[in-house]
Amino acid sequence: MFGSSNPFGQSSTSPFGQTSSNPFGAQTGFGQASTSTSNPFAPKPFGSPTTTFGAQTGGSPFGTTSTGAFGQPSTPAFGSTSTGAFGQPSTPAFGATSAGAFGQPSTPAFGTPSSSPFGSSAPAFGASPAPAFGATSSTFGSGSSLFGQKPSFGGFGSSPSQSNAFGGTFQQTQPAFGSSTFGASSTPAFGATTTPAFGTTTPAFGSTSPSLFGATSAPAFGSSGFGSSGTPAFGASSTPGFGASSSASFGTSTSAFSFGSSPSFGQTASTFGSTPFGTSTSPFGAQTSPFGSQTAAPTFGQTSFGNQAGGTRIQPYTQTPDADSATSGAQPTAKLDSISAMEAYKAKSHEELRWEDYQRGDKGEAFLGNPSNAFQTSNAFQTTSVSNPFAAKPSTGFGSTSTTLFNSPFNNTSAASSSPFASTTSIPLFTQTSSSLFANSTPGFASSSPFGASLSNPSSFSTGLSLVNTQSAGLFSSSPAFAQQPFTQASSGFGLSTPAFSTGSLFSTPTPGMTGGLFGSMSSPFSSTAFQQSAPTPSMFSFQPQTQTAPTGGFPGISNTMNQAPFGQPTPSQSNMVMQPALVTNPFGTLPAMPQMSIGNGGSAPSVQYGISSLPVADKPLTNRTSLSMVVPRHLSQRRIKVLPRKYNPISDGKVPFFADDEESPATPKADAFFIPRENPRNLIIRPIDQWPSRGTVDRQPIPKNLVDTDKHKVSNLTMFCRPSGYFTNQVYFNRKWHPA
Amino acid sequence: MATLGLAPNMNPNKSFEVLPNPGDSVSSLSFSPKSNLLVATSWDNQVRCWEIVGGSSQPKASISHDQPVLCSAWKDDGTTVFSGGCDKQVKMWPLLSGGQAQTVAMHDAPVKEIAWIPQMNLLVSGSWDKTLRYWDTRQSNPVHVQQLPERCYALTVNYPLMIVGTADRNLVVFNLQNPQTEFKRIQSPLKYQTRCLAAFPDQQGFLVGSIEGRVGVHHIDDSQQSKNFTFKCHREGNDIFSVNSLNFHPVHHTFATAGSDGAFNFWDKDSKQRLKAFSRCPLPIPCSTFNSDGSIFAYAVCYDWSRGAENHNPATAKTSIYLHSPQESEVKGKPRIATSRK
Repeated sequence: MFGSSNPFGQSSTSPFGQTSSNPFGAQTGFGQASTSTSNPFAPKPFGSPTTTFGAQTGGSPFGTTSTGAFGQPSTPAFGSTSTGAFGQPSTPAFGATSAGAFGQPSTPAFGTPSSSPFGSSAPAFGASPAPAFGATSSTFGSGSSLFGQKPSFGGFGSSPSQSNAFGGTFQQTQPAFGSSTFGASSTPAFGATTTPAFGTTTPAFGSTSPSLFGATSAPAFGSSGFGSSGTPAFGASSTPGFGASSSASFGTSTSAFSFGSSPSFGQTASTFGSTPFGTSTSPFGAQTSPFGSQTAAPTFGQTSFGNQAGGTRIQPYTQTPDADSATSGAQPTAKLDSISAMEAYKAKSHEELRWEDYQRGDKGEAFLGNPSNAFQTSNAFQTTSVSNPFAAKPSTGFGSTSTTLFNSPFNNTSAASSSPFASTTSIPLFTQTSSSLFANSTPGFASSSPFGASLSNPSSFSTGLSLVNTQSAGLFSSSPAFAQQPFTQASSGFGLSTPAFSTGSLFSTPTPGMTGGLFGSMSSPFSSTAFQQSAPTPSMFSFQPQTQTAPTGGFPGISNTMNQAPFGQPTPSQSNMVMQPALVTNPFGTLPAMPQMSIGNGGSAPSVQYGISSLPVADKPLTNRTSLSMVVPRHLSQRRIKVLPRKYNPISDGKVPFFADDEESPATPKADAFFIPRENPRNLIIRPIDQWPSRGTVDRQPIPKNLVDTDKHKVSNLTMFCRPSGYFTNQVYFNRKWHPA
Repeated sequence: MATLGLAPNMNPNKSFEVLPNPGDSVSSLSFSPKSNLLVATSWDNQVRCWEIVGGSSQPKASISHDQPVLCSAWKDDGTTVFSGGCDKQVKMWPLLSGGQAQTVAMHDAPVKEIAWIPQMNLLVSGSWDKTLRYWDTRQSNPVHVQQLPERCYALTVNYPLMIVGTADRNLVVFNLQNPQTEFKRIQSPLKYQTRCLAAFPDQQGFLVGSIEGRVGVHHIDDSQQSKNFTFKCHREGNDIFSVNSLNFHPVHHTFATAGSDGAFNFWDKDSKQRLKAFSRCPLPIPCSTFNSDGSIFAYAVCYDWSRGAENHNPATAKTSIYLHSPQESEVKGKPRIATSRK
């Protein structure tokens, strides 16, 4: 006995040291540590079984079972368990957990626990009741994680999750080491184990096996685990794990004893086992969040959420505050009623969410599956409390335990679907049972989501808000972008203004026409002086008659007319440039008028004076042409500018001729230097008088004062000419006047 | 929502009710372009047809899909109805000839929108599989498959203009004279999920409605950007409801909006004013439509899942289809008094 105690002390020390150093480095390091840990352990457990073998007669079958079972699960199970004594009890625990091993070694499992665990349980309980309590309460949470570890291993067989679980255990192990409880519990546990174990074993055997077994198995196992582990964390972790096994084994023995159909019941138990797995997954997530930053937690929650495609039950509907309204602040925040505005559902339309619900058979609040989900979602604590009732079940009476086990699977089955239940009932379909376990684990995960959801509700909500704000900010930043787009559009609007300008230029095209009209009106006064001059301007045909008329007159006159006519013809065919020369032609046109008049008046002395004046006029007209040509472009440019705005209104169209006349008026004063041009202004003045009496009167007053007598005579003569030509001019002008309208 | 105790009035606008009522919510309504045949698709997998004559409605026929039906469209000759839904297929129902409905289109996900393009003699279907497919009803394979950036949520066609609204708030504009290339891709002028679209009768632009109780009036040509604007609607106090349906009046070119608040309104986009506001029904209006001459406005009153499954009690839920005869003053545009130009 003492010899065995020495190995115990050494094993407890060295594994701890190795474990503490390697896991700290990396998980891979831990893997190596576990390997090295198993190596030192190999000989020691071998020694312990030997002792057991010597003690019991039936050792040979037990030894074989323990070796096989121990060999396979020993690495992970033992890796977390540093105690040799615990190793022995753990074997039957694992056997109970395993479906295959469960059925076959049920008898040897029964035998083994009854002897060695029982022996160790009593002293452990009596020795450390106080520390047990404290340790139990403190390590309850970690117990959940370890509990999750084993189911996960059984379900998935994935070492990564197991490693993660171990990492959590390691952190808790350090505090345990810091406390003196470890050393204290180690020593008395050992001493206690030796003496009362033997004594306890004898009475157990002597008393009635069924009643004593039922009564002592649960407390014995729990205390045994605690005592042997020595480490508070480990003891606590083993309790729930063992609790599950205990329940399973207890159920097994019960069914074997009273029901007889162990396979079906066992499968039911398995079904039940998977649900705790789902439940325990969320505690795992919870533990992850404390370890990392709080940011990680919402990420985890969102990840699990994203994985689900469960319609509108993922998160209860709530109205979404409208960012725009919130920003305004003037009124209380408006709220979006659409579920698609929620962060949880923003990627889905109403129809998509509805279709997802319909596929799950969910057509409204009456959905049967909802209550259980809502229940789990509503209270995370109850999820935790579920573990407590589970632990209490072993202590509960047989009848109540059976009822609980029966109800739980049923609820889970109905929550998942009827199919798994059928497969659960079927014995030969063990593989399908495994499949159904997976199916059950999925809803288990779903049930864990509510817990995760409840955990992430506050963070998710804040995250949602922050996301909303972020998106709002993004939208706000995009809003300026949108503002820029209008700017670009405004730029294109500028492009529009360019065509508008081009349209204006197109508009200016009619202006030349208008100018042409003005030119026509300008030419009409000149043509009034000489009727023949106006004829050739409109058409070529009238030109020939003029030629015929010319021979009738004086020869020199004819030559002058011919010279003018060819020059006039190009005028209408060309553009503004030609028009200006046309204007230049007007002054030149004046000259032929005078020669004709002088010829007519050749008989009178005054006519001789005209002839004399015509000669100087011939010289001066060159000067006139220059000055007029200089003035004309200015007028034209001014007219173009002014005409544009006035062109919009019909009234302005009417004003244009008037304005043009005004333009000519300034030109007239310059012409006043010459006697002959004075006659032309009178003609112009006469017409304005007809159209605008008031303005005509104003213009009329100064001129009569300047030249009264001469005007009278000439007026009479001009009147004769003006009347017929005036009529013609009015008609032409009237027609032109209508064009603008 | 409806208060059971108060026994709310399902028909506050005294519209004519179409009977019998569908077994579950109505997902789309469509009138025949040639007659007053009304087709309604429903979440109870049924496609029903009534004939609206005088002041009554006579049920004519119905067909079934394997899953809820989401959309419907008439052929231009008024003899055939197309319907698509969650069974990922579009069925062609030769209604007048009394033939059996046959599958003419298939998708990888539920079909959300369909439209018949008479000028091309093709059926176009938009789906949640992020594709737009053109079908010649005489062939089993699509004539063309157009990939979309995201799931199709809305579709409107007014040849040659077609706009597709996707889940990522993109509005893809197509010129059906060149259907294989996107004419333009516009980011929705609204900040929230797109729910419905309607093309202008003059093909110059479109209306877009979102879950935010807002409608955007958008022109296609960049030169008309200054004429774009959005306006709020379907709001009650601080509650903002979705705009579920947009329909242009076929004659007056004003349009109607219907929303999850249970109300429908008539608007004139040219004068930017609301022509008529109607009373709220106790349940949302998920869809609505005008008939061919604009004399009838049909709308469905039922739950549209805008508040999820938990707020819906299928046992007490009621689905109704109402017909409203719009007055000319309600749908005719009212030019503003101020006239700066003739």
